[in-house]
Amino acid sequence: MASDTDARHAQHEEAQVSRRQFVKRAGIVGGTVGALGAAGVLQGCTAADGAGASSQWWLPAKWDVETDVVVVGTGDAGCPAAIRAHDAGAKVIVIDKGDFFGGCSVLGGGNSQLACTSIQTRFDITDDPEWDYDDTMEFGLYRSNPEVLQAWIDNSDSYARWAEDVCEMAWARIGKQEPARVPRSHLAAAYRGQSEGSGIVISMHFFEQLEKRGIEVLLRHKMTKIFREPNGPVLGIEVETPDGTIAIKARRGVVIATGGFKGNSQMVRAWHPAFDETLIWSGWPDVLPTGDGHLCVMNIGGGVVDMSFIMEFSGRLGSRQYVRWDRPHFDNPSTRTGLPNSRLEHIVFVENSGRRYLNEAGWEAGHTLPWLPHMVAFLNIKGRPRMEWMVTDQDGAEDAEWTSYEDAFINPDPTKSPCIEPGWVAKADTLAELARQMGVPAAALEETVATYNASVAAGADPEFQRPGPLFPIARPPYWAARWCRMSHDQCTGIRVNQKMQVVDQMEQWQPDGGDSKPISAEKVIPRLYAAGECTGGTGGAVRGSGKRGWYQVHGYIAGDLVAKETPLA
Amino acid sequence: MSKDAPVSEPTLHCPEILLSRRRVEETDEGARLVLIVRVSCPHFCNLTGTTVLVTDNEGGELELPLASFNGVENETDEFIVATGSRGGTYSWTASYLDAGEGRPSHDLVTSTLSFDYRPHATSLAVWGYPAHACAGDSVTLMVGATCSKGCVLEGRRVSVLDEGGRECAEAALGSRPWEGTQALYWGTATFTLGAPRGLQRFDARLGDDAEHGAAACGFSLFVAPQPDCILTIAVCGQGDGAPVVGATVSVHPRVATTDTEGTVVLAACAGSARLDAYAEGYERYHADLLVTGDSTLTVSLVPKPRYEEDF
Repeated sequence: MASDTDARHAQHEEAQVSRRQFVKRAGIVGGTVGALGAAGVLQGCTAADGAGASSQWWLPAKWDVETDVVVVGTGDAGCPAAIRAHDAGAKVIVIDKGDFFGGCSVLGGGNSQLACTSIQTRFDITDDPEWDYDDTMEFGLYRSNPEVLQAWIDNSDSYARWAEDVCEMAWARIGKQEPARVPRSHLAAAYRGQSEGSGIVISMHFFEQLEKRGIEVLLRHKMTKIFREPNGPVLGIEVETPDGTIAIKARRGVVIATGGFKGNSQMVRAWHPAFDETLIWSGWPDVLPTGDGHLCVMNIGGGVVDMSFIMEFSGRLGSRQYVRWDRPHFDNPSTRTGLPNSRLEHIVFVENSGRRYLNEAGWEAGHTLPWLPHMVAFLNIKGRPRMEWMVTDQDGAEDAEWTSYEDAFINPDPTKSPCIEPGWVAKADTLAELARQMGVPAAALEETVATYNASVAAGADPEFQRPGPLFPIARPPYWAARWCRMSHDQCTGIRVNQKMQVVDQMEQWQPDGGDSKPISAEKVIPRLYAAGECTGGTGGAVRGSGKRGWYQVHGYIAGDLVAKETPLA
Repeated sequence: MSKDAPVSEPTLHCPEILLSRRRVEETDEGARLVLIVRVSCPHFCNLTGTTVLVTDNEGGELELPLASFNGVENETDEFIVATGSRGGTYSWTASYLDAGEGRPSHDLVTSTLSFDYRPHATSLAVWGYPAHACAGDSVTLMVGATCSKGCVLEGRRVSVLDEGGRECAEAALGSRPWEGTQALYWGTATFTLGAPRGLQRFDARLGDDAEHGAAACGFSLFVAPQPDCILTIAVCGQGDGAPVVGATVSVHPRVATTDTEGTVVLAACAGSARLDAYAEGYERYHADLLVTGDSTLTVSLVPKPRYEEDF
């Protein structure tokens, strides 16, 4: 026994040294990992000295680090999961493959859609669980999972109060966003120089709470594998660090909060072939959610749902960047890029051939879907890369407020707000000269505009039925800016139940009878949780605005439950 | 069962390449294009230090290193290619192939960019004409011409031809470019509209000279009958009934913006007409009218739902 203990102690020391090394290089945030426990004797499985060499193929050669809970991701889902797990008594390690804290959550807006909260009551807003349910179901084309959707509704209030009471966040205002019939988008108060409602404020509060608790946050640590006992529980994860690959044992469980997979072109195209190169490589230069969580979960038999509803496009005008290129941080929040694109009355859209291809009045930026008419029109553009140019004259440039950005048209600079890409804007004395700058055939553009102006004079647009009043494109100079479409986030993903436990896909192999059963009755992968954008079920085919509220609630649920799992030996 | 062997990456990656144009500049010898090449690999390979080969259509070659990597895309620095002095189509092809010594190799990919160079290309713009007019009205419009090399075109004459190809007006280009333009030399042309009602098409034409090619630009006017009715249209928001100021209202071919009382007055001809209205924050509105005399109408716009914007 004594020699056993000594051996484990030696391994412990080695692991600690190793851990310190990678922690130092990764810029760890506070805290320490607890001592390694007894070498792992797995539940439901004999053998396996978890801290030493193993003959079991599903185990790592050794566990380099051991903890109760590993949370993968530092965004809106991962942070509440880590804080809740810690507060429920678990030792927690949080990893993130990025080299800054917060993932995509530090880049976005701060709307957090929450249902039937006491915060709403405080602002004299009356909500109803049935409204929440119906609004979300309808907006998601009835593809939400009833129980998973209900879990968000049922836990919203306790989360919202927890965010204030425990995370010291103040909800300053509640806004209204699609698909809510009443205001549900909770906006955090201004904090440490960041404005009210900004997304980064939420990440700042979570960061401070993690730091206060000494919870380790390991950046530049990428999960590459989940260790699962065959047909049994999850045991830990494999992680790529700047110093090599390590295995982290999670005695109570793992929470996957890795975000979407928009940065993984192969995965995006596998699930939705319409996403060709024109749609993939846009924006998000640093964060790049690449579906690591989805892939690792699928690899051990976890389910996914409706993965082809990737698919909320967003875009920017004249810029290829979704947010400013600078690395975001708390003292350097990201800012929006691109030219104004809300006033289009004087603008026509032309594609690669210099011709119109859609009814401009039916076009709408953001939150658009592949099956909408303008997306179909886009997908029908011949030539690669597909180009969508908005073209107008001086009247239109003034109406659209492009004239306020004249310098960006003349000296485009992707490193300075509004981050305009050279070659993606044009301004010229004539349409022919404009076409030359745009890289479309001059004669075609001239003819397109002449035909459009004739439609304007005639008072009807026989080609695309654009509703009036129509305005000619006539007064020089002429202006053009190219629209950049990009995938925004995933509507669905890893299949979870109402407790954010990952459902075991293998259960579908030989279903038990023909009756459908609620997701709560389906077999789960023990000790594996998922939360946030990487999951599916809360929404459906379409994600409404303010969905970071869903993600926070997911993490809130998962963190508490994972901490209450009986620890593996 | 033995422990799983590590899953190896495919040894041949299939990257994507794009040769794109950032700027075009005219010089005395031809056009200069500022280009950039981007190569991205689905496996997020950092390919900096490897090279892209750019060839032109005469066999010239340029080898460029991929100089930066942002986590997704590898980029060359900007580089310049030039056309010859003769007009024609010039093209350049960027190729990328990485044999990958000690790392996965990358398959051959290419991207081609073409540019149609026309020395001293001229082009025209026509503007300032009314959206509609009546037969017999005198119409004045502005016409401007520019040369791609910025030549002064003062004194050049631009003809305006009607649908039958008959010259109906002429403009002499002045000495100063139109405000806000680099070198759009302009003049005015005035002519009297003929009798046919409806859409009339015209062409402005600039002839060639020793150095410059010819150019043309089409435009259209709607020749309406004399209006005989006055429509007073009040625009309000549905629900609160408050007047909507700044709404755009059209009864073809006339368009106006509502005043501080939310009202516009439009002349119209008796007969059927289409009324369109829109204002920021409201759904579009349209109605088919039968105009029989002076009338007062109220248009009720439905407010759009107001939502907070995500980032």
